[in-house]
Amino acid sequence: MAEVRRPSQTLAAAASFFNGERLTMARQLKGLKKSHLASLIEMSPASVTAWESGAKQPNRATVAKLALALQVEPQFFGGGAPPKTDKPNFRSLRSTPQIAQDEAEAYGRFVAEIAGMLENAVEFPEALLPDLPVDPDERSMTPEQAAREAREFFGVAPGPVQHVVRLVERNGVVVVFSEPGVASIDAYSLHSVTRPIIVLNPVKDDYYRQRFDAAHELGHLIMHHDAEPGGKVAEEQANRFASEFLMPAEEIAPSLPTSTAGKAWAQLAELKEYWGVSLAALLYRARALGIMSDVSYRNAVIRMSQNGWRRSEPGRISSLEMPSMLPRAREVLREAGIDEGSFLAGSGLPVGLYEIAASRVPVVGVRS
Amino acid sequence: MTAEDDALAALQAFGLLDVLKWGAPVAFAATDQLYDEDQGHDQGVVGYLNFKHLKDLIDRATANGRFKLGEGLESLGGDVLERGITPEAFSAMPGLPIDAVARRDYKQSPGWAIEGYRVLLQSYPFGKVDEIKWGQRSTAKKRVADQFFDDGNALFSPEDFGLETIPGIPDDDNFEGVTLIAAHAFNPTTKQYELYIGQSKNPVSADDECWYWKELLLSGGAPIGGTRPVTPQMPTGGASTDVEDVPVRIKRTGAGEGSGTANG
Repeated sequence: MAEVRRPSQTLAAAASFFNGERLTMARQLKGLKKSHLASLIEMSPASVTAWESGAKQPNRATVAKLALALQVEPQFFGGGAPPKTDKPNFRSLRSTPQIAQDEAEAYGRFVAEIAGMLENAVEFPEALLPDLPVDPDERSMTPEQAAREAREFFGVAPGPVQHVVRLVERNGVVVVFSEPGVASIDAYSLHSVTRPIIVLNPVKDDYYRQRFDAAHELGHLIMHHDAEPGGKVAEEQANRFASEFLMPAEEIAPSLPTSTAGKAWAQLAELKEYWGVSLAALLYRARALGIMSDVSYRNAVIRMSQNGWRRSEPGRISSLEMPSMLPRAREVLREAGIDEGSFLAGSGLPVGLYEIAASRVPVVGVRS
Repeated sequence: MTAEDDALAALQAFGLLDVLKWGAPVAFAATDQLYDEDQGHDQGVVGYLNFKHLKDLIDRATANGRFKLGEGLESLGGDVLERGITPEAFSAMPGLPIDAVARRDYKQSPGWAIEGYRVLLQSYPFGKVDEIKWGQRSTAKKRVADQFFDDGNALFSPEDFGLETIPGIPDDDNFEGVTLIAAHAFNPTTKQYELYIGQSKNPVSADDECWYWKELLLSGGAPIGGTRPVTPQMPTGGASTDVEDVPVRIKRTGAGEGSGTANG
């Protein structure tokens, strides 16, 4: 158990071991700009910049103020550099504000840190992802080829992927829901020094959509490990990867309708449940494989729109695929008599954020 | 010979079957060019366009309607005949003797007649040839379906009672003979099409049919959907949320280290 320290000792240690990068992380986790944080503690933005860059060290009183403003324990700032992570793959960089990108990235680092801490106490599945780089020109291989190789690598039998989240977790990928503060961002993924991480959007409460998101992020992790994130080409490649990964052309083509005439909608609804993909993804697949004409596809999309299915599709499964790796670790620790408070005490990491990261279900709502 | 065989043999002999089989796909292709669901086109537009196109093509091949020859002329110039039709379609047009087929309309419904038989057109939604309700189409179509039909198996024929058998539509004095229906359907989305010919019938009960007989002259186009079952037998089941957690075990050493730090 964590030793009980007096507050003054804690502050003294935090001030002595203060690490600027951790201040950046805490600030970004709160979604604050430097100027905003500066005004909260009634100091100048230049001081904040100086602390974060390591040019200056804040004194004890300031560390206390920073901890209060950022709602972390003072020892959070003394925990050493946060884990190194790659830039996350965001779905649409242009529509994602920088402050939200920073927050999402900081949450990714937080998850990497939590996973690393948990791994000191529990055993996780080994992190094993194939590395199948796909460049923008697709000279090495196409996203479809990468998806087929990935299925083979993971030993996926022909047919639907039963559970995408569990499949990637079994291969060592940490899957978490994002914190409500970055709910405006689609799912994203990042490589960290500890493990690859997929962060799912908690607001898009749709089982079929979530499976596609998870497969899309898996595509990024496998194909774009070394590439600069972002960009329309990479996003399209990840979508193509997800399409082939969830609906291999050879297996699904014979079942796809050429149009939505007759009983095709009922047929699509059946396909949706069997393959665990949305109607939108099926229609797009049918068009991309040349089974459905552009006109038929357009008409189908119009019908989807008229029925309100572009916002919310009908489907039988209403619960999302739930992550289990961090939630199970948290349960195992509890069973061993270690609660959240004592597990996090030394690090000063916020308990609330840990609970979100180690939750089986999305936490939606206004954060404290 | 049944009534069906007689009719088909006659239509074949006079070339009208060939004209129908030639004209229908050409008409459907022309309809497909114009059809646009985004402009609000629906089955009604498909049926109307098919009808207009097919009527014009039959007139073209049989020298009727706007292609009727003037007195003393042997043929229309190519500039008239070849307009509004693709060269391929024109070259495939059956060559019929002039006057082999004459227009005999019934109640504003265009009809093409040979000795003893006349053919009217009727559109229907693809795949629903057995669900045509003649009574709801037009008076003409309802009356056509009211025609007497001699299937040769009746216990008594009208003659047995000293009555005169009147083939054809009772109140139609312009034409003597049986009026048949050429039923056409085209689905512009799947490109499937059908052409039937037969003698229509007003069903006498709910489960009765709407044809005394019908013959499929043409069908084609891509089928709706795949031919394999939707959920083929696969080694795995479908997508589901029924899975176990990943295995997570507590480490023998290091457990209880509350002050874990970043594994950086």
